[in-house]
Amino acid sequence: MSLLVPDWTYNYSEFWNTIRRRNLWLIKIRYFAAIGLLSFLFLGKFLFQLNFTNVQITSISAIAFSIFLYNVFFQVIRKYILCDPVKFNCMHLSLLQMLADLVSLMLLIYYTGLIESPLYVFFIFHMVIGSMILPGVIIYSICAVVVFVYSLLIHFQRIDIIPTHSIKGLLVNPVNYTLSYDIIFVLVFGMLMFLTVIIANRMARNLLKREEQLRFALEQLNNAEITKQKYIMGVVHEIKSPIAAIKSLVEVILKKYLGPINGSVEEKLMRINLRVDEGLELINNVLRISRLKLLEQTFFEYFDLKETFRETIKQKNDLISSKLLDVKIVENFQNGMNYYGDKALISLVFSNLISNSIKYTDNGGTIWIEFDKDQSYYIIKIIDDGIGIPEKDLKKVFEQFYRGSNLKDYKSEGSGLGLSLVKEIISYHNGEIEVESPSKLSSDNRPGVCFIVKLPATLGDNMLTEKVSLIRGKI
Amino acid sequence: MSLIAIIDDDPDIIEATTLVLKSKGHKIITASNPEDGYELVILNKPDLIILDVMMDEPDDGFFLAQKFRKEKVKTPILMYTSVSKAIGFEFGAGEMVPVDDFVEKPISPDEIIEKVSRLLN
Repeated sequence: MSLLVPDWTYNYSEFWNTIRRRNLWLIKIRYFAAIGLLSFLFLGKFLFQLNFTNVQITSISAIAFSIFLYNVFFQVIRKYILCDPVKFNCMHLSLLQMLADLVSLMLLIYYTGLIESPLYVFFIFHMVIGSMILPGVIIYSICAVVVFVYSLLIHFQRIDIIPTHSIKGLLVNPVNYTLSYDIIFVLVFGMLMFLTVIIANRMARNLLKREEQLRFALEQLNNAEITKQKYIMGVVHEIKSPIAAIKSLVEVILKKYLGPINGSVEEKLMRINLRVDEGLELINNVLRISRLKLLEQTFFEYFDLKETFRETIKQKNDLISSKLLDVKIVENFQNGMNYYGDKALISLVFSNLISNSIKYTDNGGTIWIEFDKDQSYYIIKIIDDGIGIPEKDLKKVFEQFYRGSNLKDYKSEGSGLGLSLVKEIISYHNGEIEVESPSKLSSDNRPGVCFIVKLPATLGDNMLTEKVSLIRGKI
Repeated sequence: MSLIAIIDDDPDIIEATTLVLKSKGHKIITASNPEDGYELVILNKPDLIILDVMMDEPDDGFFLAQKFRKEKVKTPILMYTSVSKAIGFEFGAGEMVPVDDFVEKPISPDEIIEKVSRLLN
């Protein structure tokens, strides 16, 4: 069994996928082959005036029918045959298919005149296919057996051990092939077969080798990315420790554990606290991006998008009330938004978007959260009447480290990491995000911004998981 | 009044925690590495251990907590982590991580007081 399966393919899913795809492809074209054979009988008789004998009609029809039957069989068992290298697998199915096809073709050629049959050219086609799928030693052996059997049958035909099933009407007069013709035919046929296998096999092998090199390079690239992300996480952690210590001490002072403090000191300490929070948010964003790129798994579960959004707003309540913002939830879609996704990541999306709105909306401003649904998406809009985004910047907002050109003199620092992270998470979930500015809440000098998050409402679990693992594979 | 052991390699975190907990009348003993922390706990038998996850090594805290449990030290453990739950590295107390609760750094006085008093009761 293992002769068929090279060692390096054991953990290489792309190789097995290719084999499975090729098997299906072979099965599909085989149906056409069966139909083609019956058309050959039909068109041959009525278009080319060929005069098939009863034996030929019966045998060619029987071959076409048996091709159809074993093809149905292959199609059915294909679903149950897995890619386990040590068991009967899809590679063995390829070999079985090839052997069945070659036997059918040999019989077909026999019933159409052997040396007189133009159908022998199809052997070349099979050799090319075989070279692409099967290991060298197997396809060379198959090639040798085909050449030997075909030559033997031609010889038996010459010495009248087997009858010649000439197609009447294909050749005008009975043709008497000389022995030299037979010998030259067999030699040319054999050479053609072997040359085809040598060239096709070599090409296929080179392709596989190059694919392997590519795979290796990709693996190295992935490893380099993982190392980089781990390094970033390590460094960022180191940076987080002193900032966390500063914040902890400032909190202790602000909460008066060291005794009373005067008003102006308290105000400055509160300012320090705010800036430290921004620093921590930035650090957490970098950590989140690294985590997103490092982890092989996401944690998918069912949760309600509305509920998750409300929890997020609750966490920001202090900030919202300190800026006297008017936050309103508009439910255009009344029902629950049951969703299957990574709750921690989706919460991050909401948290980043609402933080942005809070940060870039002046005291006393308005923020609307709108829940909606169309045929295929849950739609969540975060709308504010803040400073907005200049039109020329709208396309760039989701790029890493982008900061709006109108923020240069703005008092609040932003990292420019949040929105690229938001976009990445939403893409992970097969969703979309758009941004509009001015928003519908805009006033004279406050254009505002509207972020529209669309998350698929009807995506099946399997489909989503598959999609996510696919994306993971690319990172 | 309870005796609380704080094991953390960051002196400022120790100080901030100490200030908060002393204000509630607790007695505090401290150590800045896992070895000293182990001795501190064995010798003084505190009512609560506050333990940092990352000290010399990224998972020192976990190992120390496991060691305590293996040696039948049943003192409640409150673990400090600097890894955000929000980024998805959410720990759950269990056999692998035999602690009673977590506090994420930076520490907030109210949260510490609340969790410490819950664990002490």
